[in-house]
Amino acid sequence: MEKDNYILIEKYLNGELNEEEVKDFKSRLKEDATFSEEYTLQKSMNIFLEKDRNQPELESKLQSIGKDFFVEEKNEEEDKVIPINRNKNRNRWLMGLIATVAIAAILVMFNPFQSQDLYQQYASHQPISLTEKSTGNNTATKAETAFNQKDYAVAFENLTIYFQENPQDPKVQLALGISALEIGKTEEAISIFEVIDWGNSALKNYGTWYLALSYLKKKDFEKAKIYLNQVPESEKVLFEKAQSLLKDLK
Amino acid sequence: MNAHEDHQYLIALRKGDNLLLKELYSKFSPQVVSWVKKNNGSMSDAKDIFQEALIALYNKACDPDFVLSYPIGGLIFQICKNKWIDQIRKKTKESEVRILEKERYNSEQPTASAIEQIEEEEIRQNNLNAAFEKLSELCQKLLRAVSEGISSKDIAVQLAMNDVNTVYRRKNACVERWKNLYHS
Repeated sequence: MEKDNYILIEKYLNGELNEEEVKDFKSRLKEDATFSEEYTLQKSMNIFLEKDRNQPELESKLQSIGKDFFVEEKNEEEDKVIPINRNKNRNRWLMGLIATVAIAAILVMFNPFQSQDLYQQYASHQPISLTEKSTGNNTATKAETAFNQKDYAVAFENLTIYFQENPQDPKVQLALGISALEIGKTEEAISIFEVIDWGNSALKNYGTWYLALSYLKKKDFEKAKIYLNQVPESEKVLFEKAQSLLKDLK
Repeated sequence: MNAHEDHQYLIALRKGDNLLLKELYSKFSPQVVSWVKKNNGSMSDAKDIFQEALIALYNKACDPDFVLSYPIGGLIFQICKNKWIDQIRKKTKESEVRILEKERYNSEQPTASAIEQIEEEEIRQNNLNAAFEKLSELCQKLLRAVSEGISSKDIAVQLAMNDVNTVYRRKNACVERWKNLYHS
């Protein structure tokens, strides 16, 4: 008897009953408390097995998203929650950006690197500078040197550590994402760029641009185009690169 | 019951959709943070509570019968509150808990029944988990393989069983044992 119920419930959950049988099944659930309990448990067992497969991945995803939204602020005011960096550092950022934009412009104009691979052609990364912030920090120096020498594997290793200590610094985040992308950890890179793209930091549009590059590298051109079209005109250098890449993709 | 548009967040939890998950955080975490902090919690408490609440919701996201028929924000907030109350109950004076306790159940709320369902499912999942861990390794492997949708034929090969019928019989035995452990 119980075994028959088991099979019946399994069939219902798998959508293998016809309309008439489903009707009977549902009215039995209402009338027969024992049967209904059995059904609930069996359903929960299925839920358990599905969770068992997928929950670890979901948890690590939530963990990494949570990091960006629950940021402990120094000298914070009571009850004020700022999920992602705002403009505190904007001025310094702007100075840095002007410099990096200039370098980027030079790279774009005189890029000697002509490859058939569009990704290679467009993936020119600006050097980073971390040490001004924390002089004497060994990890930062190592990360910076490696990154600027295009030794992305070493950069990735050190940036991962440095990022844990400076989770609020979008510049570090961006560099980490680029390193991940360069050493073939594309999915990881995408999730990092997504956070930047989603946030409000001064590097927001770089997040968008690098998402496009990530999908370009994955040869998912449709997705790449979506992000390319999201690069705003106000971000001049990136916008021009994006437009040019869009043309190349046509 | 018709699904509210926020039901998409449940689907996002089930599918691990990054974009929508981030939206959940950006929309609903500030309220939780400010409430937890007001009640002697830290930012990191809020973060943990919020994630636990999402996992509790995820349980129900896997339930084909569960339909979200109202906005998800109130639901998340209430689950977080209940979780935080449970936590401080463990370490704080009774008087403080009593004040907070008022915030727990409010039967007027349309979400009350959903919260009850979510909390019941969470308990059931914990007990199922404890029972599952007591199963033999072979049973665990077998049940996982069936749930993954691997064919009985392939399972027979993988787990060195004679034939499809053995797989079937063993599986039923494992399910029975799991249920018994759950009830015991």
